[in-house]
Amino acid sequence: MSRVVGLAPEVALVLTAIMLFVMMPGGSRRAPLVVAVVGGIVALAAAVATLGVGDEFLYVAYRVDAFSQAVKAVVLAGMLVAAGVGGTATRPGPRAEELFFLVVAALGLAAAASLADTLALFLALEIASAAMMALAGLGIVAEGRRGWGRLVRTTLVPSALGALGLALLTGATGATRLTDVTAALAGDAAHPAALAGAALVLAGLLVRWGAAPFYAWCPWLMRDASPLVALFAGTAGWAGVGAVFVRLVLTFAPLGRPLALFLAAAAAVATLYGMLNIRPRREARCLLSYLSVVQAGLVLTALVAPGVRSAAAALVAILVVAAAQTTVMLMLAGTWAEGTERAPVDGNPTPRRPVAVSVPLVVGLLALAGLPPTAGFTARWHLLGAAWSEGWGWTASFGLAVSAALGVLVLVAVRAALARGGSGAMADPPTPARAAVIVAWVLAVLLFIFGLVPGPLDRGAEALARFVG
Amino acid sequence: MTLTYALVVAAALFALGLGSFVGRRTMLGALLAFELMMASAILAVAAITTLSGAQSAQGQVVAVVLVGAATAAGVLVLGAYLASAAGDGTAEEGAPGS
Repeated sequence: MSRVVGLAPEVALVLTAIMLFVMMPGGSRRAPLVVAVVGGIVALAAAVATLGVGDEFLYVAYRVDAFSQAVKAVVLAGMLVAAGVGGTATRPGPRAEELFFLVVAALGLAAAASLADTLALFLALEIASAAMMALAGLGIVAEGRRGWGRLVRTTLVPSALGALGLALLTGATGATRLTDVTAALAGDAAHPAALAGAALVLAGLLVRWGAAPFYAWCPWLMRDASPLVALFAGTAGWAGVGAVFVRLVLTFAPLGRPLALFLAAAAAVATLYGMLNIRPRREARCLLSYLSVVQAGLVLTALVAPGVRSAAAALVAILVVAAAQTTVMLMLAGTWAEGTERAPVDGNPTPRRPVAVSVPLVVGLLALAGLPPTAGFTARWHLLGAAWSEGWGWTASFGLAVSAALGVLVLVAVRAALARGGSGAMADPPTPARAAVIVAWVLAVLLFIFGLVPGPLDRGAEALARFVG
Repeated sequence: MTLTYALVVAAALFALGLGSFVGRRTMLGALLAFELMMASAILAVAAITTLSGAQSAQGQVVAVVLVGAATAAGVLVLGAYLASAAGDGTAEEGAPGS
């Protein structure tokens, strides 16, 4: 009985998904939403309550530990915000089908946090991305179909890259369990196929992590996606896939310098690509899209030297970025919810925002830029410090330069976000829903507090990082 | 056939699929290219586990799972494509990814 307790979050999610499946297609919009929110709360509570549980299932292929439960808690919190705030923000509310695919996507990401087998991990990520693909396609309006097509394409590319990588890795190492893969890579001289396989698996995951949540949707689908979809993809999706990426990097750590060089090159490509595409003055959601690509690249700068310190820095950065993105998107999603879905958010003309919206928006943007006094600054400091202390000075310097440029760009966006509207500005600025404002304020205050007192967050991440490998 | 030749063929198939995937404007064309890439992955795992003589059973499991994943993804995308085309009354212009 005690062993089953560790699986309580997954059981709660499976039961919620079954109930939603039974409800669809249904006329009522309220009942499925209540089921999804209650199921999400139960699963989140179970994940938090089982943080201290350590167990293994399915012949060591499924591992429950502090790291996996913490990742599940973050994913489920993102799902709850998406369903509870994003879902209620739209009238007449999400359909049972949308909530079903939302729960299935969360279930895939939650399972991926626990899976210690490359084959099962591949399947869990496939389930999560297929559910996201269906979820995004369900709520899309006619103008967003082009964006949906791009989302499908950028979902299929990492699937193919991951499949080939998995094939080469399994063939070269003769193993699918992460611990066996690590041992095989550390043993004899690594087979070139193993190196190619690891690089392909990481490349596929990097596309899912940095690109798939936002870039593929920008500007079409991102503009036309419902708050529910955008919030989930930008928070839970980003954090869940990022955590899996960190775990795989530590698994492949015995590959040594070739892996480090691959990660450094990927970091450079991701940050440069994101920076070159940021257009802060034109569209805030585009800014967020490309910021997520840059953030993924900056996390990679620490992972060039895989270890407990870099993993802890990466986990802190992933958590802080997810929280900051949630804060900013809640304010933007709130503006979509008031019947102004197509309104330019930070373009021209710009409505003047009330203080209740401006403060969390600015705190979230500053955290994304890595500027003090937010937790984003300490997270960035740890990322670059981890690379520097391991002898990757040029990588850390590159990350520092990117951070400085990012700070300037985001400050320009903050200025645009706070600017008064011009002559063509909307007479009544859109106001986010009250629930969105409350959650955004809570997150903004946490980002501020952990910026001033980073100790607890750092210690927690370091404790979790010991379970990653 | 040696392992090297098999892997070269698999790599060539994957490159061909990726090139077609990037170049295709229609969803159906992209889906076919995706299936080609998945086939190259299946060929790679079958070749490397069979011709190297180690862990062939594990390779078969991975190959079967990849076949299932490729089929499932194909069905999902094709279903969405057909639903979209039926809703529009168009097969290409209004379809996702066009």
